[in-house]
Amino acid sequence: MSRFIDGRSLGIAVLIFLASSVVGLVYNAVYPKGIPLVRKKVEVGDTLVTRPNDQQPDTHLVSKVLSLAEAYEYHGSGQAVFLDARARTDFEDKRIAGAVSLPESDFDEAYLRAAQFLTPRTHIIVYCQGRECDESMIVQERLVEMGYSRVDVFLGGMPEWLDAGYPTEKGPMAGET
Amino acid sequence: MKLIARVLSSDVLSLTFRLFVGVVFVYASLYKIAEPELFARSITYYKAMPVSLVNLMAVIMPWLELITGILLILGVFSRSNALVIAIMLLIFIFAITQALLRDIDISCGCFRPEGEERVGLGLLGRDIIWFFMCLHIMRFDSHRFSVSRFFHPRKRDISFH
Repeated sequence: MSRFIDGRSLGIAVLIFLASSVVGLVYNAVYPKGIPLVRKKVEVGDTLVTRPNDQQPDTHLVSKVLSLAEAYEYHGSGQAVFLDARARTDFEDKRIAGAVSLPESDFDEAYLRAAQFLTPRTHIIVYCQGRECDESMIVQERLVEMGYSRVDVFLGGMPEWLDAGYPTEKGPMAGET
Repeated sequence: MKLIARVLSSDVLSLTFRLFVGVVFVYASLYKIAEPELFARSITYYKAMPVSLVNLMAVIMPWLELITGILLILGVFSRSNALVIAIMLLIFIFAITQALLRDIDISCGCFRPEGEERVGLGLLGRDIIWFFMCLHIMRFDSHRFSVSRFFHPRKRDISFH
């Protein structure tokens, strides 16, 4: 075929691919952490993480994907901190009222500012620019890895919030210029 | 010039590349095999393929990395394994390039799920270098350093090459 590969080597490469695929599929079928072969999109109501509740034995803290109604309810109760995972410019242009900026693209630096609003047991709700964005999921994962025990994602994000006419604000965060 | 050409085309250099790429791919496969869901998520962040196909890739690719990596280290079917790895590297290069063009800022997902190198030009350059190492293996690797020689010492053909 060429100086790089001949027909026989190509055939063996195909066989290696097929054999590896079979091994992977069998392993996935028996491995406790195996995953479904067809990935489903994240939907409202999905559980993201379940963690033991240190303060109440035999109970768990569940991080979930929230609907607009749930997000609005938590917003009204004032018991959750909303984190905006979009770029800082989008945050300053318009955000959910009271939200704190934690852009995924600038996580490490932005976290230093956002951390003052958070404790490990704070109920956190992360959102971004709607159902097609991933930033909220990425920030959610990073916060869970850092030890925050309840970090939900508001899937509809800013577009759903705006469509519903719920409270927003703009400009720098409180305490910033 | 002749010396440079000889060094560049030597099977000792090819052996070095074989061992290096083999170890890298075996190492890269380990977390992906242990944590398929985390690996699947890191694939989705690239936004380079339909979500419905992501899990299938996350199930198969780590084993492809592990098996080709081990066979490459052992020198068994080196050209075929280098070809498979080169194709995987082309996929990575495509995924990284489109992420850069679309300004998607994510971590690589190459060796562990979190806290590693961000996708950028350095990562792209690294994969391109590894791709050329694979081409070198495909072109210049000889049967001389293959484990299969221990089992078939008199065979000088390319049966396991």
